[in-house]
Amino acid sequence: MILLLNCSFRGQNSNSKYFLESVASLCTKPCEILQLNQLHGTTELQEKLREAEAFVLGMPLYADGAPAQAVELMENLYAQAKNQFPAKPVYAVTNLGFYESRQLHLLLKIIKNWCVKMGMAYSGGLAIGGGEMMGGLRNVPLDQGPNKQMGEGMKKLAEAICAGKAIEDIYVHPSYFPRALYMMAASAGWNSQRKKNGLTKNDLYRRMG
Amino acid sequence: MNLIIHDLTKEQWEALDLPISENTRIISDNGTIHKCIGCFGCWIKTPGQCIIPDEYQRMGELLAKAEEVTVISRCSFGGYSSFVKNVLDRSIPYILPFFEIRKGEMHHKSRYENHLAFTSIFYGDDITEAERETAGKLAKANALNYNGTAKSVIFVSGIEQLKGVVQ
Repeated sequence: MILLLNCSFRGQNSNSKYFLESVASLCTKPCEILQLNQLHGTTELQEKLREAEAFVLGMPLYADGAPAQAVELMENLYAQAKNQFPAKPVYAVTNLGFYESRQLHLLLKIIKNWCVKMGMAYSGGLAIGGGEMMGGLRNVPLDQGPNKQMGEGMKKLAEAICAGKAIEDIYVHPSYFPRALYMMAASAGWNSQRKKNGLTKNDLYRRMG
Repeated sequence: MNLIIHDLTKEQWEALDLPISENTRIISDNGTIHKCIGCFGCWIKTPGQCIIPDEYQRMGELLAKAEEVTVISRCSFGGYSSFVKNVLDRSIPYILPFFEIRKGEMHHKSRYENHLAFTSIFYGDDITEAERETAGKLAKANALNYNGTAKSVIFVSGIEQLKGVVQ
């Protein structure tokens, strides 16, 4: 069994959950996806980890690193279960709102550093740029349009996971969709959301104090 | 104003008896902080302020009033500890949702005109070389994202050594 853990606190609609589900759909082995915000302590996770062939962490980038809840989980597992999963392969599926997926490299390094201290085997990560947009293209097939590069990356990662093989980190961004256009679309998205909330454009620039 | 964000217990902090200037605001763990839920409410519902009503709701405003920010954190795998990271996650109302290109990469536009100078102090007796390298790069990346400067990144092995480095 491949164990996947969604570390986003956005819940059921999180992009991280969708990206994990997409990777799981490409795996040829049974997968189980857990939600970090539904776990109480690490006992259940440790039990599942013992059974699992591989562990896949999914999370968004928060302030250049792992979200606090993912850091807390890593700290707790290190305190409670160091060296209990020797050489267990660990993979990461990460995303961010910026276009350039290379801005995820420090998050992948943090996960890798954690694996070293845990005695687990960091075996590769997928870094998805333009995550807010890619998460909204759930009806587009994974091998088409803007999803092309991401779909190829997911396929490569899923193959590695099922083979228990280590691969280099994979960095992808939206295909056929340049950064300038992505930035324009993002601005339009923020403005559309503030309109729904009854705010003016100036309101978004509000300064406190 | 100067801002210190740290993850030490009340007892550890008081025992250090650091020479803190009057105009310094200290952010520490009182056990009540909530996690950022990635809702972006601080950008599109209550711009400039987190929607979660706890004592850490106004981090954006505090950063706007600050000049120097000192972050004291246990080094967790080359990043900040979960409490300090939580404070940083809750600090994004300091910036705008809109993007711009800086140093060839996308970053968020500034909401305020101040320019923060960050000092990051990581402590821990088992910090590996790889973690040290990651943490150094992380401190610089954070400063760039907040359109500030990474003034210095310091590593110490024990809490007692903070006495010599926190100014």
